[in-house]
Amino acid sequence: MSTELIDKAALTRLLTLIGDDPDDLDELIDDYLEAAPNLARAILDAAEGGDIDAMRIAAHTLKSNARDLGATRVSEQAGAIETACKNGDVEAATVLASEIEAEAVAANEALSRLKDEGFGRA
Amino acid sequence: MDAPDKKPSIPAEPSLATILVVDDSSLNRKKMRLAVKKLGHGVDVAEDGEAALTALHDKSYDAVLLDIVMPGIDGFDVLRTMKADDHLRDVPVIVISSLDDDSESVVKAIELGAEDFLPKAFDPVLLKARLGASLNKKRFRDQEREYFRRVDRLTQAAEVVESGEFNPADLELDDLINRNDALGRLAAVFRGMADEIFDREKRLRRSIQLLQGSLLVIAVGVVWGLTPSLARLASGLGSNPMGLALWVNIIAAAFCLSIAAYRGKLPKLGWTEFRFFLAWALVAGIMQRLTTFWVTQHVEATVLSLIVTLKGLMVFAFAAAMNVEKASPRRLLGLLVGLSGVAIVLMTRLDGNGLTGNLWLIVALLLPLLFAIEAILMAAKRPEHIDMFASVGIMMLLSAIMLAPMVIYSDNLIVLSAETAGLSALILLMGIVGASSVFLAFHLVAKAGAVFASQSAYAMTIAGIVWGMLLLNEELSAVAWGAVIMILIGLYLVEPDTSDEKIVLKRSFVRSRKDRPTSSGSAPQTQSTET
Repeated sequence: MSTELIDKAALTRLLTLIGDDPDDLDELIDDYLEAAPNLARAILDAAEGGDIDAMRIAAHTLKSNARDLGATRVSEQAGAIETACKNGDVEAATVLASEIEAEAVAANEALSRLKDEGFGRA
Repeated sequence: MDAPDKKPSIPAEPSLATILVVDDSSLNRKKMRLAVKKLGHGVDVAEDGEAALTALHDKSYDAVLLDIVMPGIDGFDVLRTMKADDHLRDVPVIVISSLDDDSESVVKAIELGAEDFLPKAFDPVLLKARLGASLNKKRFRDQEREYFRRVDRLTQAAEVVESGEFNPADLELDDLINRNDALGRLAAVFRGMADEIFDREKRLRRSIQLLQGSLLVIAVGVVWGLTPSLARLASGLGSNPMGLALWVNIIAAAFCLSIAAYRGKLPKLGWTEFRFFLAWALVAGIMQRLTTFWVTQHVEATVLSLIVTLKGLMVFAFAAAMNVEKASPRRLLGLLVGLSGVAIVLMTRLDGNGLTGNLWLIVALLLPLLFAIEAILMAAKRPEHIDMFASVGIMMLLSAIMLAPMVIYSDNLIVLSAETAGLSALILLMGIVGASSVFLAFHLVAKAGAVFASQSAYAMTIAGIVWGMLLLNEELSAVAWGAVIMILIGLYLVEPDTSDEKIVLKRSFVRSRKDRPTSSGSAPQTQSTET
């Protein structure tokens, strides 16, 4: 399951970008694991509150964070929400938002496992 | 690009820049900080647009990595603010937004002045390349700006020279000259030429001043040297020295003040100026005259002339002590050479017992001392804004006013009448001669300084002898001519006192360029009408 949810090539690229220190990578993964559910929550809250601007910004952040950590599907989903928000399509954005939390949780589990396996420390 | 011909060298590996990362996502900030640090640069982070602008104003950054989508002041706002700010305009901004998923934002950011952008999936090599390119561009721009600043400084220096008054030391081009490039060499050549012009003008000016000063010294001597002969002529016509002095002062005052009035230069006197004229009149009009009057009755004229020439050395001593003028050994030597010349002439005229056992000789020393005090007074305290004719006139008038009671009390008043027409004419002449000599002396001190002017005492003595020969058929010693030569050598050695910190060029290259027809169309027309 995990191989499909997380793009290891993206993680490797991130590791190279930050200077090949696995500890730094672990720290970034931890930050993401903590931030992703919060961002998903923020998107949902904004959708419920009808705050399309807040939804767009949270989706944008989740999109780029998820992409960096290889959570491709979360990133794509967040990107779709961002686009919907930009287009003013509240309905579509809200529908997409309802699915984002589950995606984020699934990706987090996979990412967490990879971290525990010691990704980047081979 | 139309860059200056000597390009500043660009380092192949841009090192140690300070970068500002602006992103509202803490994860992104951390990622970018680590990535930039890995390239060897210093990094600061800002979590929103407001924090970014604050950081940019507080510290100088070499580049900004800027996220566009942020709550509040977003990346576009930050860009707009930076481009509107003179100090921030040239800091390159790389937008963290990928063309792949947000081409609109990237295009807009570039339009707003962003230098570059980072694509969706960037690796360290790409970050290094884009950051490096931006930093190099900025460095080149900085060097270019610095270069134009230097061009500007050099242009300003050229304008100072061309505007007229300058001293090469004030041009402040040292740091420009120390740069080893084409502009540095141009600055060095420019300064060298400015130095050359300065020196040449200075030498020329000194020569002119020496010539003018020498002519004035001789003129003062010739005019002043006339006085003793005229006085002796007057004495033969039944006048007395004190009464004569009163008339001479009155006529001189009337003469000078008339000229000043005619020129519309009669001054209003303040207390300071009045004090100067009072002191001058006391020294020159009263004390010198009374001392001369008493001393001439007890000291032989030739000896007195010799003593009076000591004035030069006394002025020199005063000038040195009071720091009024440059007191160099060369100038002292010059004074001594002139004095020797005069002394030789006078020695041949001594009758032997004139110098011995005469206590009046010591009193006679007062005379050169009073002359010296007068010279220093004129050099140091002269109110320069008051017209010279007016100055001399006021002094003469004050002298006459102070002298009058003494003359009347001592019953020396000369009453001029139809029977004394000859004496009246002589007195008129003496008044004009007296005024002229004081005026010339005053002019000389103002022009060449007190020390140089003091040499007029030598010229005066020699001229006195020559006038004596011409007017009174006294015999002229051949040695006198030798003395004249020695006095001239003295003049050359003493040199006028000059204050040439700045020179004035009386030509303008810019102005002459502006005078030419400016439009290219009219130029051939002008030519055709001329030919």
